[in-house]
Amino acid sequence: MKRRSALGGLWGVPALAAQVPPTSNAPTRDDNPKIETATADAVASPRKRYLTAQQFATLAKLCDLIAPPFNGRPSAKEAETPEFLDFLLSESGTERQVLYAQGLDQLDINARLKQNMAFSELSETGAAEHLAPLQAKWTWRAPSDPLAMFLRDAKNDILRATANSRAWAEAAAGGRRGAGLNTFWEVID
Amino acid sequence: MKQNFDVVIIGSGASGGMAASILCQAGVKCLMLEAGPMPDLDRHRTLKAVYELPYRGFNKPGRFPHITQASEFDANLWIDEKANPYSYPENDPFYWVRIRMMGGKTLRWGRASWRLSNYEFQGKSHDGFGENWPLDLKELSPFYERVEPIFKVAGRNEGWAQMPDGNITLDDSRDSTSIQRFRDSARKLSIPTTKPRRSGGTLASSVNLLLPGALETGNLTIVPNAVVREIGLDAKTGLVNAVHFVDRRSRRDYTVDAKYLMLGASTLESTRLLLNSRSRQFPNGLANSSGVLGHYLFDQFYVKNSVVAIVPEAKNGKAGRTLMGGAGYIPRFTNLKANDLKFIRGYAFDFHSGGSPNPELLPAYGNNLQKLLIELQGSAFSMTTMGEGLARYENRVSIHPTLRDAWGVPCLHIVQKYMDNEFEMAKHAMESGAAACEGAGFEILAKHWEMVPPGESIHELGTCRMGTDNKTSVLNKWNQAHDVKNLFVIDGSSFVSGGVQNPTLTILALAMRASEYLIDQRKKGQL
Ligand SMILES: Cc1cc2nc3c(=O)[nH]c(=O)nc-3n(C[C@H](O)[C@H](O)[C@H](O)COP(=O)(O)OP(=O)(O)OC[C@H]3O[C@@H](n4cnc5c(N)ncnc54)[C@H](O)[C@@H]3O)c2cc1C
Repeated sequence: MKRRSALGGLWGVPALAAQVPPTSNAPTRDDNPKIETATADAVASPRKRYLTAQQFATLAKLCDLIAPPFNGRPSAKEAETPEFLDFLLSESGTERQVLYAQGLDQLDINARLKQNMAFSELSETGAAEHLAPLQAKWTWRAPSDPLAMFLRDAKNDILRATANSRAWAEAAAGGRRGAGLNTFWEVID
Repeated sequence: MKQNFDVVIIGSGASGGMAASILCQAGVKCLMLEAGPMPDLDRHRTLKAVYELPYRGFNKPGRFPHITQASEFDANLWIDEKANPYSYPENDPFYWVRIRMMGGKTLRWGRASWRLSNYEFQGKSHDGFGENWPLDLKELSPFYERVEPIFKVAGRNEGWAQMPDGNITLDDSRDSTSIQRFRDSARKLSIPTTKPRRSGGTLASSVNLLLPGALETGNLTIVPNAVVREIGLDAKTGLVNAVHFVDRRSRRDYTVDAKYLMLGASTLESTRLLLNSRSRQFPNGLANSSGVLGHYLFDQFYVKNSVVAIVPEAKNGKAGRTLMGGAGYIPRFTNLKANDLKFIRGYAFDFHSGGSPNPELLPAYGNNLQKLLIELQGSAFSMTTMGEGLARYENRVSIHPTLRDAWGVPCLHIVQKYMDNEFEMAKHAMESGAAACEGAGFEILAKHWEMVPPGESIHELGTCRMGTDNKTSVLNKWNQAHDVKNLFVIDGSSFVSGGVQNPTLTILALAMRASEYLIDQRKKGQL
């Protein structure tokens, strides 16, 4: 079989049609192709990688509490922040992984001891007492209590991951393309 | 036949770029060896949205343990820390911030461009600490005078001894009301304020301001990806005669003859290269008969956001352009006449009006936090402290016994600690900054005096200092090695002290002066 007809067959285009010369203003194969692509995030759901189911549920709840939807801006949940942070943790160093895992476990233990419920099932008011460190005055040095330290880092990460999400950019730009654009340096070799 | 060159220049940043510009325009044939690649500013820069980046702007975890300035957008610009390691004592980290690319750190610098004053050049005469430079402001002024227009420096001349006037474009722009109020309050506390003084243009780098002119002369040949690993010495003449480098990509070794060498690989890289160039004459590093090479490392300590305040009148959507916006600078104002504080020398501030406070600073979360952020939008006023770190013998770099970079070149061990003088200064700065804000009627949101680790200010200086005495310094006042007359070290390693001023303008002026001295000496047949 000739190469051209083999290609035509492959793409499901009848061999004859493939041989018809293009009209003058249709793009030809010699043009620089401009092929639009999508990111994986836009079309698929990420698989969980690091946290246990319980820890993930606690993180998702924490995300809801720290960054709920506000003034037309998407919530952390809509921004898939819990999934993103789970991925980021899977790539992070041990120190950060331990900070998160222990912090999430501690929140859950505290909720079960105090309210006999998983943290992920608490109401906003019920969760408030566990998040008291987030209402404390800011100090440059991170707090020495590990839970307070975790909550401080988690607050920053959740807000940042949410604000840097596609959902946030789309809401901010009212659907316009080009929201949040910045200069990116390609690999230079 | 290989081409012959009069001068080999190592490094293409501020210092190397200036040397190439001066030497080539004077008809000197130069070869520039640059360890990094040549960026194509059109091809290598594209626009991307943060959500398109693999890590949503967080950067690949662990990629830059020491370069806090690196973002996921510009990650490919900074040095590869794994391929280029270094070490420090376990509890005293040094954050070494490097760019290995044509243009060096001038591709990214913040462009603050201040002259040093005689409070720095003659610091020892003023308070007895350290050493004086072997030159003073009067000697360097004609060079500052010429560098400033090249870099299109703009700001204000105030006629203050600690902040010498420059040959600059005057910035007559009106201050916003919040800045005016802050300046009035500072004046009542005898704290001087002025406009920022910065280089202009879209890019203020050696790649657009210095190298093109040098290339136009036809006298400059640039070789990128040339990682210099050692400098060769002629045992008979005691002069530099060769430069050995490795091709970054192929790792092939090369040697090129050198009649004169201008070393501008940046403060610590230049010293590393000298320490790695050992010979029978100089077993402890090239041009190191004094034993001082590697010592007297210092920088400016930074306390980022030492004071963050809110301008109350700007709350709730009232942060209009008349009230908010703009920036300013407080030059050193302590210990100018008497030395009667708990510390010697002094500190400066950058201050900035506008923007919203970092949510981290607000004791809230959820809807309450969002409401607070809306209330405070645009109402923030922030100050960053930059203090003089003293040049001490014990702060030093040395060659690590086993650590090697990806090209087999021995790496640095870096020891730098801040001491009580710096700590007292940082505390004083926090209090005086807060007092000026309060006097202006601003509400203090947060204040602290915790400095970032040494190195993070990206103003590392010293380790190959100049001086009049060849027993206590490596270079003479022309940046020329006391021991090896055809070797010039033209970057920040030559500094004796650094004050609070960002150093690049002085690096440029010194490199210009050293290059003209070389031309002059050759003409006179002295070299
Ligand atoms: C984010 C940022 C902000 C800054 N802001 C300011 C500011 O506002 N004001 C200010 O005054 N300064 C500022 N600086 C510092 C300023 O950029 C440096 O002081 C200046 O670039 C130093 O010039 P240099 O020539 O010594 O070194 P560099 O500019 O770093 O150039 C050195 C060059 O030598 C090359 N090199 C290193 N080793 C070798 C080797 N072995 N072989 C061959 N080549 C080698 C490097 O690749 C590099 O290109 C800032 C820097 C950064 C990164």
